[in-house]
Amino acid sequence: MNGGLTLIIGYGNPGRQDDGLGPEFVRRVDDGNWQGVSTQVNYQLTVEDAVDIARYPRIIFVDATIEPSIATEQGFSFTPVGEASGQPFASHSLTPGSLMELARTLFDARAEAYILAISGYEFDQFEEKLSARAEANLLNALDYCRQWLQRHPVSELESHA
Amino acid sequence: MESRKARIVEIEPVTRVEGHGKVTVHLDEHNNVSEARLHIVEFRGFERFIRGRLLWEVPVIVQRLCGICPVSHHIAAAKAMDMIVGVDQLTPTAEKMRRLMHYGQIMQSNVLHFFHLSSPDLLFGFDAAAKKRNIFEVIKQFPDLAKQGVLMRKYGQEVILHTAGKKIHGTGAIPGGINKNLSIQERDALLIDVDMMISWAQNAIQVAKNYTLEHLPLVEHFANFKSSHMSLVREDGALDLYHGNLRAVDAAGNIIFDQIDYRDFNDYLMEEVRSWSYMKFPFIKSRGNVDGWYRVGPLARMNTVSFIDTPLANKEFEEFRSFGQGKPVSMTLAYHWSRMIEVLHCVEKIKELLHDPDLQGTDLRLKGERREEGIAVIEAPRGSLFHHYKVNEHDQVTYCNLIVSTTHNNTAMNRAVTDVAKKYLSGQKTITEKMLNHIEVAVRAYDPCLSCATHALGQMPLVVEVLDVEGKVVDRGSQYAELEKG
Repeated sequence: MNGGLTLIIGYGNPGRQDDGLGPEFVRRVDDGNWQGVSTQVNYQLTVEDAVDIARYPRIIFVDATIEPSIATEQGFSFTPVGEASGQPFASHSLTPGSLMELARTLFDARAEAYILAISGYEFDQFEEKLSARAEANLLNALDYCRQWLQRHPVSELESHA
Repeated sequence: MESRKARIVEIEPVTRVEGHGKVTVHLDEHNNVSEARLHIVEFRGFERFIRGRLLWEVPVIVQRLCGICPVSHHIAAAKAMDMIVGVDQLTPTAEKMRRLMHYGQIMQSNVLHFFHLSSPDLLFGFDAAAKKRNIFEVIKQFPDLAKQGVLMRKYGQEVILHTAGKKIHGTGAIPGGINKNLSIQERDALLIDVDMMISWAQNAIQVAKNYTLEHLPLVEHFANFKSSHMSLVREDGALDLYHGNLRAVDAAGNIIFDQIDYRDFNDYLMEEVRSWSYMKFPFIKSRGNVDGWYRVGPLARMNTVSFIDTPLANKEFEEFRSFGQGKPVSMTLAYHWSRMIEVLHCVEKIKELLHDPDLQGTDLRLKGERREEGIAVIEAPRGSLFHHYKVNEHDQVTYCNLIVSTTHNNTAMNRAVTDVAKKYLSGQKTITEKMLNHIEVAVRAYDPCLSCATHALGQMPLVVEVLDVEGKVVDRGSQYAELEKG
């Protein structure tokens, strides 16, 4: 979906159970025809995403997580993207923080960025299906994100810029 | 930990390499390296996952296998399914669209590896501080080069988008053909920047080549070992990344086999299982399991092919081959030079195809006499990729075997790791992060794809284990620097 000023990037592998939480989030945003957003899906974040990021005032990264410190009662967390420093590059992919720094440095990106990390539990099989707990977390995250976007329109963001 | 006790140092995972990998460095009682092994925690079960699926689904589903090279699996699977639906020769439009997709994929994959993963090592040296060996330092010191890398990657992705229909989960290649052609608008959009891409690809070759030539004392002694090499080649011996026959050469450049129909690969190659690794060890049957191992990928292709059929890349190829003085180049670090020559070749091919009116043709798909078995080989970014399927009368997959490029290079990567470990770790009382980075540089040169696209946040801890001679874990850490224990 294109046209909105908030870019939602869902990433992960839908063929690896709960790793597909990010792409599934985006699929439901598209199906729900959310207003004011553009969406992208990918297996992982890579350097060229910096080019697209530079075109938007706000980015929301959506990913699965197994990080216990991120887990909440609702099964997700929504936080500003942190700094890239101290985060090692692992594999061909980038962390949201690294990608944002790349976009700022190379393409003068000014976007504010958040990460919506949704707790997943099952990753070890090839299966295109979310676990029941991850599905519940996904629904909570969708509700939260939709309401948050309604409370924080990009026009308000731009007026503060 | 007692310093004079035989031990094993484990490094897990190998950073800046795809997926999960672990290196164990086996030290004897004098802290000398006796052996080093690359353990790849390969994900098992894909073959089982694919069983029962309809053959029409396979080219799309296989993209779930890998987050880095889904397009290569997409094309290889479609090519295998061509055989099953009885199509041995695609229409010109279909074959050229697939080739365009394939060249876009190899270009963007090779570019990502070089600029993102390897250039920090080459530009700043293996001994540079870890905080300096990353893409941000490249941006800081070489901003134009970094930007070119990102935009070249972006260009390759655009080629994929216009040929596969999507950047990921593409559906462009289907059994017997392709489901779209290239519109004039898409063609013109890609033509705008293609000459700039050629220019930037030439720049990238200079970086890789100059590094090799200016650091010969290092490069010649860094994981430099003789081996056989294998790839597809065209009937006239040219580099052909999409289709051809198998050719293997030995360390002296002598032909082991040539123009072998890849559908007969089981007559020429075998896979060996070793107790300590999940990943198999392929070898050339006629050479046996000890001497029959070989390398694949960009370096191997530069050593097997007779020429490249695009002028600029062929000129670079000739310089590369003259550097080897008529024999295969065996230096692991020459993978980088080779990889950039291939980028130039791919961009030249992209330009050539964009000017070909067949891409606007409408004859997209053929059907033939149904078969029960399909075998395909393509030259993927990391090397030869084999897909082998059998289907039943209900079009359901009953058998699937994939031999990915990283598996072909299994023995070679272990040789590289052992070679570097012996040179840089032997006799050291403490093992520093710099020493370990040398091992990673050797592994990274092969650009292994470890068949693991799961990347959930928090799932990539760095675990270090020290085991005594009996295999008992005597120390364990989670930080790179904590390896310094003796």
